[in-house]
Amino acid sequence: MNVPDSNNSTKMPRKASRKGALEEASSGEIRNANKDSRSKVRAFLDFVKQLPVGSTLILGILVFFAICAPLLAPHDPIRPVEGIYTYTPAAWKDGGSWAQWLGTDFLGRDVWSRIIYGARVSVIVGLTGTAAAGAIGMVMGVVAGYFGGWVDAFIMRVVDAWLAIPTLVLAILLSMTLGASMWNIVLILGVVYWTRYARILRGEVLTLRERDFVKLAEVAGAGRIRIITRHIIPNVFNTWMVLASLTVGVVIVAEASLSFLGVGVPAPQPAWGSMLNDARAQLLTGRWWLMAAPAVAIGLTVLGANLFGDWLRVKLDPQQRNL
Amino acid sequence: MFGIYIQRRKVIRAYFLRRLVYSAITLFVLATTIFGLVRLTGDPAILLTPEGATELERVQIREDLGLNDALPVQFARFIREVVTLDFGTSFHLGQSVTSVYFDRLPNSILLVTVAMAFSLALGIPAGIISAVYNGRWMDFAAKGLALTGMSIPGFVMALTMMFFFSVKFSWLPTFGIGTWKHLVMPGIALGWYFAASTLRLVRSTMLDVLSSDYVKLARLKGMTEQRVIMRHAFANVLIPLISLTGVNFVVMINAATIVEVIFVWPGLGSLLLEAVGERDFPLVQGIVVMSGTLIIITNFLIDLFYAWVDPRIRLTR
Repeated sequence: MNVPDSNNSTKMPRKASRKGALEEASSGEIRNANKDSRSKVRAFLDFVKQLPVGSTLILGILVFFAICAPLLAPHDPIRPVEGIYTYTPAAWKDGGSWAQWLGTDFLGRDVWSRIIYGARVSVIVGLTGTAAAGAIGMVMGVVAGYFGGWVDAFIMRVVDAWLAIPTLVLAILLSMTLGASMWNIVLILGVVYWTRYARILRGEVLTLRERDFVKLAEVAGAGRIRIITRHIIPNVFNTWMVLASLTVGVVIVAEASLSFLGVGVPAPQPAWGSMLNDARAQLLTGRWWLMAAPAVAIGLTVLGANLFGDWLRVKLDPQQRNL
Repeated sequence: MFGIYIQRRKVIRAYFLRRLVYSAITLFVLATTIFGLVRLTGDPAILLTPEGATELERVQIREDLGLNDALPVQFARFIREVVTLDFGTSFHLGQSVTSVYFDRLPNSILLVTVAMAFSLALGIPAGIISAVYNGRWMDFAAKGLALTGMSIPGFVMALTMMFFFSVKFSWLPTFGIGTWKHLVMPGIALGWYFAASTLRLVRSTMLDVLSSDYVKLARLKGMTEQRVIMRHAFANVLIPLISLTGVNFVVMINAATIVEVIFVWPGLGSLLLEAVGERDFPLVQGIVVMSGTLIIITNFLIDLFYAWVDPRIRLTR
């Protein structure tokens, strides 16, 4: 018992002093900036400091890839590399070249460039798909909770029915109806994943509706729309954010699954799910990197999103309800 | 006192009836949704006729399949099918939907049982250890397991295992159905995510219970730690665990689709996907409604189970 304690006591001050030195150095730099922006910079730095390192790094790199894809990708992701018509091996294999370090796919397209461009699909679909689901869920949940009665009963039965249909099949049916395109996928994922928001936000609104400030606003003659927008929605917004952060990973996986099954983002556009499907047959020929690259990309992205979601939940939902 | 008891029974009966009506409405919404959705996807006659078939042949096929009837007529027929649980004949297989469904159901149940066993065998002990050694390295290991389980999608897991266990070491068959060896990879790929969710539930419930007063009392009166954990703490995990397992079991039958496709497992998921691709309206409707009914019944039973075991539960709403 004693040993780790003494260890700690020698370690702690050293750590603290190192941190202190860092803070001094950074505040010294800031002092040179003008006084108005100083507190803003300080506030920003404080905000950055508390972010979780791992997930912020993963998501940061991902967003950087997505935004700067044309600058980072060495080749066109849709057209074959000049003079290559089919598979070429990765750089560390015989006949591989560092110009296409992950090799090329069955059409001779550079895999690394396709991975970089694939980040765009994941980021865009992950964020907008979550937002679409959140928007539908917010409207449904607030309407059900606030108006109650048969409106509430009906919306909740739709939620129950939605939960009883396999999500993947629902998504595939919708994508066959609307036609496959990236924005249709966003819409489809919104229509598929709104139920969780609706169910939980409805519960919150049910208790909010009984609170004094809402009753007083009603007595004061505020309209329903005003009460919902000024009193209800701001009070469920934290919960909404937590739910959204936990949904991003699910939505990214769903998009990858749809692309994997060939009903997601349509063909020439690079998406990690469809790259995995293309690489599936190549397992037997030993070109494992074709599969490993999109697999690692998907895994890391979802890991980053989940870690960030967990962090946000602890931060915004201190009671740690199991949302 | 007796009066309260009778009142409670009345409340439970009212609750039971309301839930029953709710379940029926849910089933109706589900059936209507799937009826409309499959018809929006397009014309099955195009897929059922050979290329270069005349319009006349297609009209004939539509007539044979009853697709030329007005939508309300088709809908009435469909509702009668739902009530009698007889969904007619599959467009592209030519067999009765019910018999195809019950042919495939045992395969699905087998796969799901294995996946469930795997997820419980991994999730429960890891969850208990994680809660008991809260904050120590074993807890971190368990948390890491939960995080990877939530983050690595089943189909990525499936392909990774396929590469290592079938291609590289050739320990296990790549796909198909037959011996127990065929079950290992699909079972793990499917159970993986649910192991993580079981772990999380066991861990959080255990942590709540372990900090409660009666666990402290049990320790104070000299009960061994092992008995405290198993008799007092774990007993409390059982109720939420049973309901989670019940829900997961049915959800898994649906979630298995992509795993079944990868491992060419002849279950309901791959059948449903095939039916969707062929625009086989009766087959899609049949599978979705029958599996959906299972889910609705399970949810109904779980609600009742909760009302029965936990008298504090709010029966209004």
